[in-house]
Amino acid sequence: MALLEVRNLTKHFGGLAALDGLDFDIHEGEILGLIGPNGAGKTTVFNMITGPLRHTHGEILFMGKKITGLKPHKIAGLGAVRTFQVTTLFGDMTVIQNVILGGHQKSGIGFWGALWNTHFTQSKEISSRKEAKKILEFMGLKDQEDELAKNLPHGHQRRLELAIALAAKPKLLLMDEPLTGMNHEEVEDMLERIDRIREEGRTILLVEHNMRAVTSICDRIIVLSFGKKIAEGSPQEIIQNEKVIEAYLGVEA
Amino acid sequence: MIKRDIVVPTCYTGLLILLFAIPLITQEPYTLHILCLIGINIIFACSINAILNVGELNLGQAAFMGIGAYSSTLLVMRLHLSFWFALPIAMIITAIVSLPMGYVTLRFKGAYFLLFTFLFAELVRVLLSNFWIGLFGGIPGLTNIPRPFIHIRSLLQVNFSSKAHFYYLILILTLFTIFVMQRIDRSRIGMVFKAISQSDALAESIGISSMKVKLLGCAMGCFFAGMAGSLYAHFVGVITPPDFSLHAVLAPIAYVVVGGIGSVLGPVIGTVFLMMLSHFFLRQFGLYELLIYGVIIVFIIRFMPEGLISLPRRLRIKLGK
Repeated sequence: MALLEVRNLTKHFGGLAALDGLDFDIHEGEILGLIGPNGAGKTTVFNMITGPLRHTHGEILFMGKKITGLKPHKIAGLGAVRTFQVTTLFGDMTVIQNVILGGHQKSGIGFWGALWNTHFTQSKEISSRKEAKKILEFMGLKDQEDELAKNLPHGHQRRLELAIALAAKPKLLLMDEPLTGMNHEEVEDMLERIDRIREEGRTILLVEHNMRAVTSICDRIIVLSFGKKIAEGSPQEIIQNEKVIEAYLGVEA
Repeated sequence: MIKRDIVVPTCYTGLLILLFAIPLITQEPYTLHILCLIGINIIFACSINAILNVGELNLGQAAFMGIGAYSSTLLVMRLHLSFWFALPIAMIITAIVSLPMGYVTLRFKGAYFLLFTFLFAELVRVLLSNFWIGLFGGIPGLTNIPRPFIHIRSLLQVNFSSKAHFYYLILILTLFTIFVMQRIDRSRIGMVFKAISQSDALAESIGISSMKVKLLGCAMGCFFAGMAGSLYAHFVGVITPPDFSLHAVLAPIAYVVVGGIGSVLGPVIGTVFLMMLSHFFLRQFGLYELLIYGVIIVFIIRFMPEGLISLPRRLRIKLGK
């Protein structure tokens, strides 16, 4: 049983088929790349796995359970956590608060406990803080833990987004173009971190336009074009695939 | 800083002593009456702020104060419950009624949310004015609402016939409300509220149900709006549907904005400042009262958009230079 199974996934927007009978699996422990020219349907797939977009036909199974039609927060609670293409943070809160919030749902702190400030809640707060610090250390943000999120430089903000997602203890991490707007060094840094995340036992779905990055870090790649899967295989196979080159005509490799 | 640890609590203690001593300093009914109304409005303003903290401005908030007022009145007058039971029950009723309204309206944002809450306010007003007139009293409303009383044989006999009695009751409940709001703001609950108001998409992606959190904020806000309503009913003695219409929520919104949105003490300071301004100082200007009042509000929002609560910080920055 694969970690995520997509079966015959179809999405119609009026008369237009944005996705047409898509089938693929994500295996546990791999980094799967999802690429394709603009308009191919990558964002549509992404938003259907993570919840905000409803399917027209087909189904998606996460760890054997059907998640098509579930609300986004429920899907995240099951262990499929996404990051956003546009930098999305709790801007007016500090870095460490952002990460603590990432782990909130799994922290076990409830309304009444928080209101009465019980011993249980207090101890949970302490452990939440410790875990958040560990993640910040992993992401190289330890020195900025009391900075407001909105004041961080762009590259650090992207790292913070990843830290927040990690705090939610994902089994499957879905990354929506995480390298957007990064310079060469920042890309290398991020790729290294993503690799380390995989080493810790997590699975990653990576939607990206940066070809060099995708081919260097992904175990397998799926290529979409006009809502259909046109190729699937290792990075070496993909960059030589004729259909892929045709779909990307004019885009640098 | 050691100095701060001594100065601030001392000031607060001094303020508390002063507040409790006021009925001993002045017996003037007008003054005590206004102070009681200020207290009720502080509770109401805090309830508006509570919902604002989960991201939205509820134009129907006064209708919930009305639900609290009418519930409490009917519980005392029809079911012959003591005020001391009617008050908490009315608060719970108000919070529970807010849940279906919240469930429908909180899916919307911005202008749509404002529109729906406005419609809800009008719905409640029309209901109270035209339906079950035997129960709600129609447009003339309900009158001769009984005052609370405490009859513990030979120990304590309080009839609440004097304004001072009400003053102490309202003072204690206002302090309680501020304390609870402060507690929530500093807790994990407050943190989650702030997060939802900044990015509910991000909150959803880490497993937090933004609808559940918003409903919680709504119920909390309306819980205290119900308290304000019940106190108002038994203090003033008369309640009519227009008392709780859209119009009635506008001034408290101004109190919250002028005081400082999002902070716990903002609504408190805003209410105290603006109400004292209009009831004690601007009286003398007769016809010009409303004009001057409006100009002052505009002035404050223009030069201190974060509200009066940012005043100490601004002074510190200016004096630091």
